[in-house]
Amino acid sequence: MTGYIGRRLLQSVSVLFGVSMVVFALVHLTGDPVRLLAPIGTSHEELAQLRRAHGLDRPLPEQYLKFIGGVTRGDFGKSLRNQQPALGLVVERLPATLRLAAAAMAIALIVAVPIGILSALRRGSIFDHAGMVIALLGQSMPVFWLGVLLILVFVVLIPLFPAGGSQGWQSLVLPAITLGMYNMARTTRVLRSELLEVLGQDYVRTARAKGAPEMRVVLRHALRNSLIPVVTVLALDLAALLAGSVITEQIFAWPGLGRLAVGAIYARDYPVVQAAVFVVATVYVGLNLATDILYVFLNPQVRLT
Amino acid sequence: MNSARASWWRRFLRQRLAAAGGIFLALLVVSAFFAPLLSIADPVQQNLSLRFQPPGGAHPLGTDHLGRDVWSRVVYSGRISLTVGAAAVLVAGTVGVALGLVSGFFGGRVDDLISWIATVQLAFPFLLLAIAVVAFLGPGLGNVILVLAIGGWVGYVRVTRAKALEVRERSFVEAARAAGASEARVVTRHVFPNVLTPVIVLSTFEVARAIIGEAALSFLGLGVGIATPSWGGMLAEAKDYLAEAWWASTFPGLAIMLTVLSINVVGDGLRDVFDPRLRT
Repeated sequence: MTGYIGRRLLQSVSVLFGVSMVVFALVHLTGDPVRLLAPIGTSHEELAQLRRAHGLDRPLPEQYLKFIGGVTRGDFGKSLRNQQPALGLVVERLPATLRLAAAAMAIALIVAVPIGILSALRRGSIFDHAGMVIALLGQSMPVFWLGVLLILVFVVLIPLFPAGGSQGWQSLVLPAITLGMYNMARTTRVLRSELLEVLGQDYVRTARAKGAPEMRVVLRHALRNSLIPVVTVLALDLAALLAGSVITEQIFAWPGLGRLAVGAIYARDYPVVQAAVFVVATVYVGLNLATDILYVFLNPQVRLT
Repeated sequence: MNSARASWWRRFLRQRLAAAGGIFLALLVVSAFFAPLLSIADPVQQNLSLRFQPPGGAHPLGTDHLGRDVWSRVVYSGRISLTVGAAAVLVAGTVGVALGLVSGFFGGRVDDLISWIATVQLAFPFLLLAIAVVAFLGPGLGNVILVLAIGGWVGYVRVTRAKALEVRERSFVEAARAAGASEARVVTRHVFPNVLTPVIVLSTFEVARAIIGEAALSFLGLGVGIATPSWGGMLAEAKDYLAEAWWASTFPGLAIMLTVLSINVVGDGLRDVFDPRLRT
């Protein structure tokens, strides 16, 4: 067990090492990063000076070592726009994005769990078909259109919610629905098919044969087992929501990480872009590791390879 | 209704859905091909005296904030979506299947390296990385295809690698080897045909993902460029005029959704046909 956790930990560190290489390479995609720093029309001498000042005249391996040295200390350099530490700017925005992702996940589960259960129990009914059609639509709906559509209906036509910003719970409703729709649809489908499978198993038949009330059979025996695949992917879903909130934040002017990152990309503020991409990737790797370890505890049958 | 008949109904409905999706996609391909014949106006022609015309009459889907015909723009945008979807999947699929075959069939150091690169790739928030790369490289059809292919190859590696690992141990591979077939021949003639089915099923879903990806990038102004009509770009422009013209955002949005929905039901149908064990 300890060996497995140790191996997974090492693996995660090696992945983060790869992530740091890509994040570093990102800036050199355009060729000369100093052109991102200098205003148009800067003379050759001034460009050379800037290059020296930022250490961009050194060989790439040396620059990379300096970069990764900074990363391990949490230093991504200063924002080119306001001279504040890039990592600080990113961490400052993380809570808003976490709040949005958590709300999206809550809405997804609140809707998906009852619909998934009812669809499985009333298999083949009108309710089941309606639920599956909605889930199929939800999975095919691009976030940017759903966001625009919700604004059209609930802001323009029926003014119930604000179109953007982050004032009070009302401003959280539309972005959370937008971001959570895909997860809602997918969780509904996964839960339904898992539950259908479990309901056909021997121990469920045994429980029924013993005369256990239907409610108890469904809740105690079937649901608990069919939730395992749902629960084990929750952490990864959350990571996906964090990364996926980029567009939702853009539509609803939500002051989170995604909006900061997109703004920084447009402004070519590369230290902030690097910090944002690295932080989201680190959160993803961390949640992935946590899921794997949790899974071993939840399911002792899993092979430790 | 007994459960046997219920599942038969389900399957019937599922296949009917897949058929409907297939018909929609066929119409989409035809309309993209014959876009110049189907459009009623130049999709980029501005005419400010005709701005915000509601659907009907000379403009069946209305006009946008610059007086451009929405129907013509939707039809022309289909070309971009289909081109990007097909090209991105072709590039990602070719690279991914090749790497997956090598990884699964030969194993060892090469397998470790390819698997490591795939894990690193998966750690990235795809859209954020795509935005960053396009922002640094500049918008344009080629760059968008490249970025979406970078985001798609890992799925192919995983599917192909798993299948190659499985096939490698089968007796017909052993027999081919015993008969003196070269490694290259074993991979291309015996392993490759066996990975094709899951790759085809994966490809349908990947086309949908690439189309959404292109629309998302265009929505953020980082797609094929503002001069070329695309569904994502139309949505981005129309979202600032929701109160004046609901139709300018609704029709391109509907086009993306119906396209993605059709691809998804066709993919589900294909999976049911090829691999009934996975039926849900």
